[in-house]
Formats: sequence, structure tokens, C-alpha cells
Amino acid sequence: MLSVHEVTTAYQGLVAISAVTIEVAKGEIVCVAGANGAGKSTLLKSIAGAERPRSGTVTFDGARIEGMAQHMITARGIAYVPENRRLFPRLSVRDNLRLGSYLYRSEADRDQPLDLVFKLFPRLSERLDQRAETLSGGEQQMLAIGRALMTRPRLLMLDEPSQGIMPKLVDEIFAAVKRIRDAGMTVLIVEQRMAECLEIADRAYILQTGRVLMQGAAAEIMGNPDVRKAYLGL
Amino acid sequence: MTALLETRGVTQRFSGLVANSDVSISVGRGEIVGLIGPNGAGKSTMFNLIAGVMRPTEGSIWFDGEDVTRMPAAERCQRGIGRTFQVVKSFETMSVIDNVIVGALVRSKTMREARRKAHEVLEFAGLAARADVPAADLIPSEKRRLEVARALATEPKLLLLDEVLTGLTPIEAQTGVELVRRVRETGVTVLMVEHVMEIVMPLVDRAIVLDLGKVLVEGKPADIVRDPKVISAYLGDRHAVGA
Amino acid sequence: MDANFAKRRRRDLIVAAFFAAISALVPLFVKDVYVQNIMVLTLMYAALSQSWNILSGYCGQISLGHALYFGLGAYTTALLFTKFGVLPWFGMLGGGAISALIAMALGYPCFRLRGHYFVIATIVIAEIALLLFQNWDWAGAALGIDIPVRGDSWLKFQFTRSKLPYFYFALVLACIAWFVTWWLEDSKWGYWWRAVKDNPDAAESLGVVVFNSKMGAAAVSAFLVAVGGGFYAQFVSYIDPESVMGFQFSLLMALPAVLGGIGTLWGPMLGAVILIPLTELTRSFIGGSGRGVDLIVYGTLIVLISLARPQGLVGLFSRQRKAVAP
Repeated sequence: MLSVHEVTTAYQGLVAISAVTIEVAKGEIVCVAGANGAGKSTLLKSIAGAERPRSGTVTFDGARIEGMAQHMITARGIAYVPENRRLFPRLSVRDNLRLGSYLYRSEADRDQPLDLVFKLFPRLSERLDQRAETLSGGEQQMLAIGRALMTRPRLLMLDEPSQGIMPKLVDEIFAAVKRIRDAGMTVLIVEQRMAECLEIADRAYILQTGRVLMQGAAAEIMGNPDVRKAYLGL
Repeated sequence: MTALLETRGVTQRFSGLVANSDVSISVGRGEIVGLIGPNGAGKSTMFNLIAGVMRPTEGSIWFDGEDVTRMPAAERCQRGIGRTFQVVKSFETMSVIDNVIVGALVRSKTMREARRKAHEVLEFAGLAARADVPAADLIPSEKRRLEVARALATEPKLLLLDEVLTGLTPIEAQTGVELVRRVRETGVTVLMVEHVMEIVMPLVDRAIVLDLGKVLVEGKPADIVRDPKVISAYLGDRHAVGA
Repeated sequence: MDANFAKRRRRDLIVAAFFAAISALVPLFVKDVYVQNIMVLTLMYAALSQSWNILSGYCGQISLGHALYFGLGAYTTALLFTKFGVLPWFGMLGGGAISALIAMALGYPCFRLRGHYFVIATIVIAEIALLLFQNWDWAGAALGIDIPVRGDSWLKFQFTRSKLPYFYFALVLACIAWFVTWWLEDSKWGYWWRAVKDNPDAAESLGVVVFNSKMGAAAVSAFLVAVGGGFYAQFVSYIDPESVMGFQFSLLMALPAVLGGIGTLWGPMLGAVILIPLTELTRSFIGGSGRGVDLIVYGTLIVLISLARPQGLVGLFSRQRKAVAP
């Protein structure tokens, strides 16, 4: 479904990812892991259109999308939840969710995903009128994912969804991700803490200083002793 | 002998968010110490607290035997704390050498002295050939070196390096590592925040690991990487399967 | 490297001396009083703009309220002379000192403000001062102050028969403003100011006390501008709030620098020499309501410069492309 081929992206002259190649098949949960600064966020941004790759190609469902404008990529079915979530703090939960739906014209089309969102995250339905900034970190993450789901994506990309969230809610979020996949979507997750992520993933890649260090089935990666070296350098 | 830098029970709160919690670390003279940790661990906040950009909510910071907790940043520089910024902050409209002269002016009494000192530092940092170039025209790795050179011109006792090795090509990174080693050889103590583990772990004498705002563990790099708490912090709880 | 630098500094000094000498000779050939008037004003604005440049160009704290200091200088000189018989020479220095102090006092609240808010504050403060003076009876309120001129006197710095003394005084003032800038360029203060302008956080990390350096720039700038104001009072011998504290003065001090090259040594001079004669000529050719037209001329020039050469006309002469601070 998604094919990233030899993508290199740089920020102000500094190369963040170099010749990175990853594949995500329909219906998979793929995890991209690695330490800080490994280039994980840059990879997602390059796919989502928030950053323009210097070279390489990104193909989604057979169509080339690298260099396309971000909103066009969203319209094609890729939803991206960035690291800092970027909610609209003073808008209510309901409004934040609504704002994810304007790709679709009719009222019915727009509200269609709400059912799924509330099933996945019952907490959100309890707080519909609360301002987003008053939610806890974990709830904000749920809202961000919910909002992304409102675009009815086929591929959902999450950037460090567990960051700064207490373990109990992390478990809830990852459980929800599994159910999102079961509902027919494909998921690409970037994580620094990969253990919890690997439990639900099918396959994983590990990035180190902008390159793919290793890749394989999630279970293999989990058992690989070199993983630690990839993170801690020695 | 007292440590050069000591933080005692430093806690930093930002309206509800605890960025650092009861952090007590020390850096001894002549050491190269690495400050590492996952995203959101509180490393940058710690740096800003040590440099004097903000005051801690609780705790104290001691430099060279003096309590500098309430001291403003400019004064801390005069006392001997120099720093670089993660996002390079060159004086873009000024030339490379003028950038460094600003740093040299802390200690020099005359302009001539400052200029001479600036030349020396540029030589040391390998930027002498670019002295008259406007800082805006430097390539990123040169800008990083300029940051370091500028801070060195203030003749610091402690140099805080904020991710100076991130995003460099392998060759540039090696040059960077060499520079840090030579800095220590001149007698300057170094505290560096870094992510590029494979480069920084062989470089530092000691590493302090922060996670969720607290000090997780500290010690020699070889021990740190085997510590199950560190592994768990970076890789997640299920990974702490020991060495 | 040091040799190049010293050579450049010397060259600047020699070029300045050359231009000063040429300027000094001009009145010997130009006898038309109207033209001489323009020349006096040009030199005065060159001095004012050069002084404004110290705070707003080098230190990066853009002020559109410098008319305040100009006015204070004018009023101090005029009041000390008419009410207390203090000679204008002392009056000008007194005006300078008062303005420097006020600039520093205003710095306390204002330097905390970043970017556009600071500019707005300067405009507002100058307007408030103007209103205060309009209502201050002792200072003549809206009617202003008439400086009695009884014949020529160097002591009282008033001349009826010829504009030349004013010309030479303005020339000296311009030279002083230029020289102070030249000297400060290669000094601790000059470097600190430019650092503060480019990046105050980095400057602080290098030991620069940002607040103090802004205060220093404000004081020097205000002092010089106020002396210019005192001169102007003597030149026109009648002042009122609108005519010495109006916003148009703040603009006329800033525009030559922006046109010529803000934050450069020669920029304000170059800008003044082009802009001021243009202003005066526009006004007299288009007639009494020409006030609007000269602003259109300024505006057009500024737009052209911003598009073609943001670093100002000085950029036409420098071989090295200088980066423009965002």
C-alpha cells in the first residue's frame, strides 16, 4: 500500500534521513523505532507532505505522492498525527473532531466515523463539550487520533503516540490501534519506546542516525540483541 | 575537591507540567560528561537552567563553589559557563570573526586583544579561512563550529554543548568529536546533551541518563548501556531483559 | 587580517574628512539663500538620522518616536534661553542630557517589549509628550516659544544676515554624529549592540547584558538628537509642539537611514543627501499642499529600495553581499 523508496530528507542543509526504504502492506501495523534524532519523525513528515524529500520516491496505492502538498495527501487517504498532537486547544472535543471531517461534503459522510471513534475512545464521548486544553495528555492523544480518523483514512500514521502518557493510557491507546487495524485501516507507528508497540505490530524497522539499521517481523526484532546497540550505541 | 558544577534537588515546573524533578547531578573539573535520555526527559530544560535562561522552581545550582541559582545568564557567562544552542543562533549579519569577537569581549580589555583572541579561537576551531565571511553564508556544520568557537572565546570553565553532533555526516561528526576532545585538553570541562549515541558514548567519561524529568542512572558509558533501567527507558518496559 | 581591518577603518576616516572638506567649501560657491537653507536642513537630518541609526540600526531597537528627543532638545534650549538667559550652547548640552536620562527612564518599561510592540510604544510616547507640551502653559502651550533674535551673535548662536554659521554648525554636528558612529563601530558597545540586534538570547549567553546595552544605545542616540533639536530651535527661532515633536520628524529621522542602509556607517548620510533635497524641492514645486506628495515620494523610494536592495543604497557600493537580519 505504501512504498517509501530511498528517501533522503534534509533540514537546512543537515541530512535527517538518508536513502530510507520501507514498505507497508495493506492491513499491517508497522512500527518504526529508533532513538532520538534517528529521523523517525522526519520520515513520517516526508510521507505526509509536511517535509519535502530531497530525493527518493513515496508511492501510495500506486500513485507517486512525494513532494505533494500535505492537504492533497490527506485527501488521498493518509492521516498523520504529529508528535505534539496539534489540537485546537480552546475548541471543544466535538469541534476538534468535526474539524477533521471537512474533507467530506455531506453531513452523513462527515459524521460517519464518529461511531468508531466513540467506540474506541469512550472517554471522548464523555467529554464532548470540554475544551481540548483541559484534557489529560492521554485523552489529548486519543482526541488527536480520533480527529485523524474523521478524515476516514486508509493509512493512519502516528508519531510517538505514547510520549508523555501514563502507562495505563498507553495500553488503552495501543489496544485502540489494534482495533483500528481490525476495522480495516493500515497503521504506521513511530515510537521511541518500542516494546509496547512491538506487541501489536506485525513488522518493524529500526532507524539509526537517519538510516534503516534493521528490519523484520516484530517478534524477531524484539528478540534481537543488537537492538539495544542500535539505541545506546555501545 | 569540589565539583565544578552541582545541581541540588532542581525541580522545574511549567504550570502543571513537571519538566525536571529533584535532579541532583555534578560535573567534576576536566570531565566530559554526557546528558542523555529519551524525548521529553528534561535535558534541554536542565541545560537552560544551568545556563541561567530560567530559574528553577525548586533547588539550587552551584558553580565553582558559588550559588548561581538566581544569577542571570550574562553573569553566569562571566563566571565561566559557556553554552551553544541546539538551534544555532549565529549573529547572521556579522562576519564569522565578529561573531567570535563578541564572545572574546567578555574577558578582553581592548578591541585589539579581543580580535587577537578571536583569531586564535578560529584557528583552534578550524574556521580561520572563513573569518571574514558573513555568518549567514556558512554551511550548517561550520555554523555549529562557530557556535562552539564563540562560546570558547568567552574562556569558559564549563562548556555546555547542546546537540552539536546531531545531523552531521560521519566525517563532520568525527571532526566534531576531535574538537570536543581538544577543548577538554585545554582544560575546559564539557557537559554535552547528545542523541547520536554511537558517537557520544565512546567520547564521554561519564553519562547521566534522564527520563521523565528525573535522573535515572549515571556512570560509565559501558555500564549505562547494560543497565536494565536505561534499556527500559529507551526501549520500553518489556525490553528490560537485562544485559 | 588585522591589517585589512585597520586599513578599512583608516579609509573610512579619510573619505569622511574628504567629504567634510568638500562640503565646507560648497557655501563659497553656492550663494542662493534658498539652496543654502536646503543644505542646512540636509546636514541636520544627516546628523539626526545618523544618531537615530545608533539605537535603531546598530542596536536594532526601531524607534518611531525620536521626535520626542528632538523636541525636548528644542524646548530645553528655547526655554533656558528665553526664561533664564542660558546661552544656547549650554542649552543644547542640557537638552541632550535631559533627553538621555529620559531615554533611559523610558527604557525600563519599553525594552521589555519585543519587536512591533516596542515601535508602537515609541510612537505613542512621543504623541503623549506632544499633547503634554500643547497643554503646558509655562512652555507656551500650543502657541509655542518665540526666540527673540536681536542681531548676530555667536554667543547667543543667532544670525540674521547669513545662513553660513548655521551651515557650518550643522556640518560639525553631522561630522560628530558620523564620528561617534565610526568610533563606536569598533568598540565593545558597537559589537554588543549588533549582537543584541541579531540574537539577544545568544548575546546573553556570551556575557552581554542586553538591557544595559540597549540603555546605552538609547542614551547616546537621544543625546545627539536632542542637540540637533536645540540647533533647530535656534535656526528657526520659533518652535511649537507640532513643529518640533510631530511624527513627521520621527519619520524624517528614520527614512534616510532606511533608504541609505540601516545599521551602516554611511547609510544615513547617503540617504539624507538624496531624500532631504527631494523633500524640500517636492514641497516647493507642488505648492503648499505638497505635504502629501513628498510622503508619496518617500513611500515609493522605500518600496523600490526594499525590493531591489533591502540593505539600502549602501549595498550598491559594497562588494561583499551582506545578509539582512530577519
